[in-house]
Amino acid sequence: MSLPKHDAPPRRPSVVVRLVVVVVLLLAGVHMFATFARVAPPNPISTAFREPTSHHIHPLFNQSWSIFAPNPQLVDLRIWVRASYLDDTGQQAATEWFDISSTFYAQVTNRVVPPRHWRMVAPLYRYQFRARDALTESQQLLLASDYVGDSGRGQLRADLIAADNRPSTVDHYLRSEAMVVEFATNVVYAVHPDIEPQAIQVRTSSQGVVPWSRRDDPDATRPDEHFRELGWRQPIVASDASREAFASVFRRYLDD
Amino acid sequence: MTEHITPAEPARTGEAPQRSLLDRVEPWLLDRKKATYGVAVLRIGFGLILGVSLLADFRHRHLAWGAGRDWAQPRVDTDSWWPIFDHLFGAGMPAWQFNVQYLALTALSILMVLGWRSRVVIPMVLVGYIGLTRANPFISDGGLHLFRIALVYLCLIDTSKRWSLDAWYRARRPAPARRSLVPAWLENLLHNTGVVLLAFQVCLVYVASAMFKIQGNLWQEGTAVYYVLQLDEFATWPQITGLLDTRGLFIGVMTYLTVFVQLFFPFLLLQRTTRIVGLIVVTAMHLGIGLFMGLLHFSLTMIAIDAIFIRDVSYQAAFMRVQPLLDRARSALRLPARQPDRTSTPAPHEPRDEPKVPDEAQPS
Repeated sequence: MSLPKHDAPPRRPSVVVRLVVVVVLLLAGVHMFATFARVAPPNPISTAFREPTSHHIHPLFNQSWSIFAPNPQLVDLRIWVRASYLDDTGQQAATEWFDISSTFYAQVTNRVVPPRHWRMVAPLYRYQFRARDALTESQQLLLASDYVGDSGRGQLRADLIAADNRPSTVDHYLRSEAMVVEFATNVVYAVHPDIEPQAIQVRTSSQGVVPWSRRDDPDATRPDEHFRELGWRQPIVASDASREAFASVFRRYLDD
Repeated sequence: MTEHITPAEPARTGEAPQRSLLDRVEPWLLDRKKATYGVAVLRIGFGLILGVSLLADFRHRHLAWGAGRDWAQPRVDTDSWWPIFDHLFGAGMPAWQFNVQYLALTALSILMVLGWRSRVVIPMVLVGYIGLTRANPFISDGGLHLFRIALVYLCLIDTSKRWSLDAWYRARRPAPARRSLVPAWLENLLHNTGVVLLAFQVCLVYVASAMFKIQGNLWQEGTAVYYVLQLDEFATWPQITGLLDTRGLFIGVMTYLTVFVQLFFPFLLLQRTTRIVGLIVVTAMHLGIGLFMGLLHFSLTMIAIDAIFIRDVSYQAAFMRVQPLLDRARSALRLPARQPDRTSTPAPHEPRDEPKVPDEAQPS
């Protein structure tokens, strides 16, 4: 060891050095324990330490490794939208249903470097699905009804609260629905630049796959797609700039 | 607190009866920075992953994170994140400002590849990355979380000791009586702790994934990979995976290999032979997932972090083999000859006390 300027430690660790080592090791150990307790499948240890570990992990070290597990997702999730508008003769008309998810999936098919946002629709689907799931059955039935016009959203909230008075659950659901509706409204403007939507309707769908046991059967087809419709809703547009920014990119997907 | 620690605690049984556990751990933590080549590969890899994906997403940027994502703002507002990050790429930002920030993050990722002022650049990349990804919480997957967490640990680590502009500059201007606010032993301690945390994080990803998987009957029955490849969401090369998914044996082997290599990964690391096998298998697995299930970011992020498990001596040995080829290429291009300093970039003023273990000299 000729010139130990940078790398050499003090040969005999001083009390200060040792204290620092112990503190750093303790911190690292606690951090690793908390992370593991949060990230492992639910277990008595993580239950016992739920509050402090949750506080420690969120938001910086938040993570989840249950993708494809315990079993892989067995259905494709899709979000669809259609719009109603006044045609040239002033008659009420509706567009065809448009499959938003598949438009994003097409962006990654046969591409080595997939764009980062291609799986954006499935998390949005799940977010709305969970918020909807937290509502009571009678509340969920209301969602299939139409709530259009400027007072539509307010009326939907009033009806949901009347059915079950838990405002925070209702507001969480309405927030999730508003995101889906605004997202879908953006799609409508991008897909149908020539119409002025009066109202839009969103439906979600799930479709299973050919089961393993029938994989070699050439006649096997995927099970029927299951749809869940929301009623008609008032379109939501955050701003023209936002709508244009969305459409400028999304229209290219339609041409691809 | 010191009283409890300084007098060596009763020695454990074993080869060093006089020394406490701390006495043995301390030199490992304080004497020398570990995995210096591995973390350099990790830094270069992360810079490339981020830079290439930002460039590949350039034409999508306004929809993904720019004004076109304003519909996601209610979730930004209600998720529990520190608000400061929510404003970095906040809603209502003018397009020119968004573009400038997006390109600045791309530029930072290139600086990360080059290893220029890494101690400053990496924390800036971390902040920019969180800011960008907070703009649209619906763009979220394991790869994104892992990239962020690893960047946090990289802030503790000296990533530009090797193969970096920082190292090159240091070698040009030899040791101007380096005055650091942080003493060398503390720098080493933080570096090595960061490396341990990275290793822990990787093992956690594998073991936790496996613990979830072994609960599922499709993984137990060896058919899970078939189902993943059936979904529009993950079958990104349907023509190729369509050929594979009817081969029962292939699906079974892939399904079991995935579970077992993940579950046993930490133990495979303990021995050189099993470590090489383990790293080859997980790298192949990640490339498969990355290419055929569209999870390229996650896969490349894992591969980059796995680079820390290859020891410094292996990198040095590999580099010494490659060097003659580089020299020949250089002379063929009539570039000025290198200084005859045998090894590549290590700064000349640092002690070269790394043990050269002959049987470790094979590149892993």
